[in-house]
Amino acid sequence: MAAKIIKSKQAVLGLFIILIVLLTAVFAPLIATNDPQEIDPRLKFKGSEALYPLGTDQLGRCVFSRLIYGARYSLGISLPTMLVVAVLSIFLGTFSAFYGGIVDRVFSIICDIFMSFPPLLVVLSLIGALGQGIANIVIAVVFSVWVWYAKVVRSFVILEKKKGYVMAAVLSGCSDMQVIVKHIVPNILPSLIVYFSTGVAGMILMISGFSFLGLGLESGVPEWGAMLSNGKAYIYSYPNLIIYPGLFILLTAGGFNLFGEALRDIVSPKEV
Amino acid sequence: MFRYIRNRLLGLIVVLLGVTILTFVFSNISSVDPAEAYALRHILNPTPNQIAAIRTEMGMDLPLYRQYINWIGGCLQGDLGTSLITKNPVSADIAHKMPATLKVVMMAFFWVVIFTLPVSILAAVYKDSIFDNIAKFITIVGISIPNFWLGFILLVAFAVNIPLFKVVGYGDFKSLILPSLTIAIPISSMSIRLFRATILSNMNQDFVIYAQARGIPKARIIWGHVVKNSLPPMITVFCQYLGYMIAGSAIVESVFSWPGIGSHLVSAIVGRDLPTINGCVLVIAVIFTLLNLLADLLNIVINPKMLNERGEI
Amino acid sequence: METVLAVNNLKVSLKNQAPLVKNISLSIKKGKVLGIIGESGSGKTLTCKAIMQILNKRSFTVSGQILLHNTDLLKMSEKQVRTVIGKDISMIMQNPMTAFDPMMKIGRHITDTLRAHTSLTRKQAHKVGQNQLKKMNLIRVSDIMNSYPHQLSGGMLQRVMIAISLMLKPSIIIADEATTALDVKNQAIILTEFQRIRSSGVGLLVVTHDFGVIAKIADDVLVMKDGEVVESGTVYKIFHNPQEVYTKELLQARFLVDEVDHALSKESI
Repeated sequence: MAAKIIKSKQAVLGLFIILIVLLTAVFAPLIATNDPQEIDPRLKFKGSEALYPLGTDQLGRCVFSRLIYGARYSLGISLPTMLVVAVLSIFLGTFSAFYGGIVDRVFSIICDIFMSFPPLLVVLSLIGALGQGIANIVIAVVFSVWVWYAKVVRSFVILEKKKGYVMAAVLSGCSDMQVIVKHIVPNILPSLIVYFSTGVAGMILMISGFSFLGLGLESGVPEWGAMLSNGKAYIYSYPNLIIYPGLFILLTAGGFNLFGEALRDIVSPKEV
Repeated sequence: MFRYIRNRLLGLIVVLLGVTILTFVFSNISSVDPAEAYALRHILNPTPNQIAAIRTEMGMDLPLYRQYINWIGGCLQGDLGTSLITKNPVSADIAHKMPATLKVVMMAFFWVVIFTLPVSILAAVYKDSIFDNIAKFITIVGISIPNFWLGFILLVAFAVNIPLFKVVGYGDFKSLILPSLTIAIPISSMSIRLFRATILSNMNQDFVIYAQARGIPKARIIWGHVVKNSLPPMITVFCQYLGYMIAGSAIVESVFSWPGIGSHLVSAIVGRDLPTINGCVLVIAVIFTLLNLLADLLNIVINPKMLNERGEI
Repeated sequence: METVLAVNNLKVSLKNQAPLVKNISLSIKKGKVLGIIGESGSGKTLTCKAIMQILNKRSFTVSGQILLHNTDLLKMSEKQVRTVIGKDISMIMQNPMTAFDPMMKIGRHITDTLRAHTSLTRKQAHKVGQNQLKKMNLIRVSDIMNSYPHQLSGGMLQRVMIAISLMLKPSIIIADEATTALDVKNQAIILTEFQRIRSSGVGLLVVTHDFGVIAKIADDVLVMKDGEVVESGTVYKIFHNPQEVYTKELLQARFLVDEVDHALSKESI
């Protein structure tokens, strides 16, 4: 599979973008030219110069440094959230599908109920109830999207359960746990990874959307969506304050989408 | 067929019941005491006694299940409570804000259909052509673009450079164009990709090969067989998108200062106006559920096979 | 006797890859039945599809000659091909349950086919189609015309498909595993139909993996393996004096199955 990934230009490009953003996030203190939170009203709306490569914003903060640190928030929130969603949905989806019967029926009804809420709505209402903060955003996002992933996992497992090797494993006396962990999950994992990696892109967009609305993060944090929101008052006079953060979101989400789509073509070529 | 519809409606009632319970649970895990919030907002320095009185008046001293029954009883009569901020009935506020959102969402839906059908069909029929590759690129940008940013870019482009559309404010048809496009572009990108894949997989079906073997003209095969068979999943997805767009309107409404249900919900969240939050969430979820039902019913109408297959469930 | 279809050195390959089918040559005379036999994956179906010109041109390259009444189909324009395919040369597909569009009534399949090749109005085409179904000894033909595919049985659909294939008076019919998806009773009905088709002077190319089918209707046989013809000859020669090891193996496998069947049926009595 690794060889096929290297062969696909799209996958390489996507992976390249993801790696750049990832490295930016990790080495942000080394790359940034200034403290992203440092306010100096005397320096506001500066043009680009050596110390401020992309100028400053309305509070005199270095736009470039804020963008660099923004990668930490974007990936730092979306990747762990996706991980929680992945674990939760694999766990629930697999058990529901594997045991079937009444468990599965109840699970399906619960899924139907959760799926009656558009994900964004669940997040909005949960943040409304829980109050703001990064942890609450993560909880709210997990709560809103798990069902869509769990449903996919469930349908994969149902297909897999019918295959001969699973029957063979059951007949040869493997415990349920062994069948699930050693046989079913490893076999559906490639397809799921595809699904989760495109999911990350959606999550990045979702999270930046919330901070744009002013929900979730405390003010002053250099998150891209929040930067965009702060810049919107100056849209006509200083459009750069809006254009740069948006480009960074587009690029990051685009990287995950490119990579995920290329992976899908590799894992299940029929769908193309 | 009737059995299927009956079962579907029974299922709908279960789901709606679940939706109300879930909405109720969401609002009750809040750390805010609505009575206190209300008191703080409307009385200067409320005494504990005053807060307690308000709590009794709001029915919040009752056990949870009683509160739920009261609330749902109210909902059934169209009473969603009173807004803590505007002091209006929540339902009146929603009724006041909803038309603006529906207008822009319907317009956006129109764009989605207009963009999706021709582009996805052409891209699938001429797979790997220049057109297909351009469509692929644009749609990948489309699904990666933050829609609030897209809104601003359109604003800057059309307000500063080409003053073609009325940009901010709410009113006539012209002011609808930019917000609706902002909603429609990412959604169209998703649906174009999806529809293209559906069409391509249908092109390999046996019935298409058999139609070719009977010498049916290509255009007729595409329209009469391939596209027609791709419609049922598309109807389901389109109805879902319609629900997403209503829920997602918050972000675009904020960009364009559009006085719709989405921005109403966001300001309620910021102001911790729980009755309004509950009301909006419930109304949007009910609309979403009904849209799903609509999709299923439409599918029954156009797909003869569904009658037998799903009727037996 | 007049040769209807002749294929010379047919080669089919996926773009830029080794050929999947190569050096296939065959000819079918008026009123004769040619059987192609081979395991699954031997290239039988690919050969049929290549002859019918229904392989995706973007992924497959087809070379050689496909002569229908001495005109090379491979040299025709796409438009010309379409006027021949379905009319002068028609096909019966393997799986009747999936060959019909689930969202289209049977009648519409029939009238569409007629109208693609003639200038009949929809009403006229409907009449012609009904009569054609009647000729197949089908009853309640107007009900059939008004049904959706899933409302009919596989055997019934297969007979409808045969009716469609005969409707435009073709000179050759290609049947790709036409009996495989059917039960024994329906197989017998279909084979009887094939006999009738043949006696009406239409050439028939029958592709199958079942020697029983070949024995019942074929005049000549082609044995295929891995995309190539390994042996060909009259049905008598193939059954009684096979030259190739592969053919012998195929025959033996077949008789082994028969013996087992026989033994089992005795046991159950």
